[in-house]
Amino acid sequence: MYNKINRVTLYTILITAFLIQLLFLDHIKLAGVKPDLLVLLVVFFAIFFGPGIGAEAGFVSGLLKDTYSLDIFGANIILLSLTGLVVGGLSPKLFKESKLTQGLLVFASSALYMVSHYFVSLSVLKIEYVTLQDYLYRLILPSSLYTAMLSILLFPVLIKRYRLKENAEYL
Amino acid sequence: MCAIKKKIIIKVLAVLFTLILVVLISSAARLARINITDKKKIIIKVLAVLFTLILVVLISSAARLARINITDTSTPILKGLRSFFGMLERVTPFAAVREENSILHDRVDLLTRMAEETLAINDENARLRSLLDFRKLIPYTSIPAQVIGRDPSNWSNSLIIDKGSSSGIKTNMAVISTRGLVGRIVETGKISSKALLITDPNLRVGILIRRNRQGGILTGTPGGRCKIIYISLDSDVKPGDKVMTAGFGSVFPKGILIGEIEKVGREEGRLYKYAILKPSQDLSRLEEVLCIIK
Repeated sequence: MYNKINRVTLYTILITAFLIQLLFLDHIKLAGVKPDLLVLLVVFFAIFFGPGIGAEAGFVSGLLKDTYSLDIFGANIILLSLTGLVVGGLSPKLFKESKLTQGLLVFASSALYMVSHYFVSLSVLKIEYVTLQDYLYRLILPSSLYTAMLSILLFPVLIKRYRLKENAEYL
Repeated sequence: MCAIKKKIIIKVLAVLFTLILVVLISSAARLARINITDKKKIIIKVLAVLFTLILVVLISSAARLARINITDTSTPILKGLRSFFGMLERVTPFAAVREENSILHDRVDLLTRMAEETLAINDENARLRSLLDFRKLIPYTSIPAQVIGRDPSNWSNSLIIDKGSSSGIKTNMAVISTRGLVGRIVETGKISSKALLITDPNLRVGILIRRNRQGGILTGTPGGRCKIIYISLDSDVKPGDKVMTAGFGSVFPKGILIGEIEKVGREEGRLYKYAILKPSQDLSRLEEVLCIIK
């Protein structure tokens, strides 16, 4: 039904992407925001490998993020796993090989993940001086757009690398 | 009154949102169940159990300790990777010469590489010298540290540095660079620490505007800028004014440059002005910092 992936490959890709995010991504910041490689990969794995792998990729990515960032511990694990699960659940209903679909899905997933993160943070931390509007226009939308643009470049490479094909029964 | 109402509404929304998340989790699981095999059902169940575990971890303070220990353990790897990529940059021309397989080119390239290496070492030397001079110049005792990683999320702005409690780093130490304030230490391990940057919305710093000695509170904004709040309405603050630390409290010493005001405005319904500040240091390109002991 879904494509299969070796766990070693999955974790190697995620850890490599995480190291790039940790060490180099600040150098390609635009307007103060950087793309989120891990969200991009979670969506990729969810689309092509199903909700199980999507949630697993989300869990690992979230765990890595939560460990090395000063974020609320657990927030990224929950939200990224959920992102993988939902996108994976929706993927049979989508024309996965369309670049537009992929880009839109990455944009929507990234934006929803970040909006959810705002509300989770709001219920745990004391954010008094920054509104959702601030986050939306200065961080969430630009960052999601940047990630979606990057996905247009990276998805074809990953699809080619893993020779992924649209399953005929979904076409 | 209006602000309190707003806060209550936001809190209620946050609770509602959490409930929606729970509903989403269950509906997503149901959605996923439609097309999955038994094996995948098990994976989802395992994940559900893990979610619950994480919720427990979320409220335990042990998570923080575990987190910094993991960062500590991986510090040598991160440092190694940094040096490896630095070395790769220097070796690249040499590899190109080897492909050409010419002794003459080989020698030329060797010399070029050496010149580049010298330039890189000179750059590093100049940077460290300026840091050292600056260290001598500032009236505080400080610990120099190297930046080995940055926050992987867009949400918070922090740095991972290669010095920890074994080098004398403690939480709440101010972190500065040659150009000004960087942030403060919030988590310390044995050989690594995490510093929250001034561009993070969770950091507050008492400030003074150098020209008119007016005070305010600095906080981070999304997008890598800073916002000064609580500037009195009669203040003549204007773009271009330099801002420095006020020295209130025990974290940040007085008189450290933070940046320059870019824009001044007034928020509706509030009895103070605000200003947008551009930090004096490009925080995304920092390589070395100083942690102030006292």
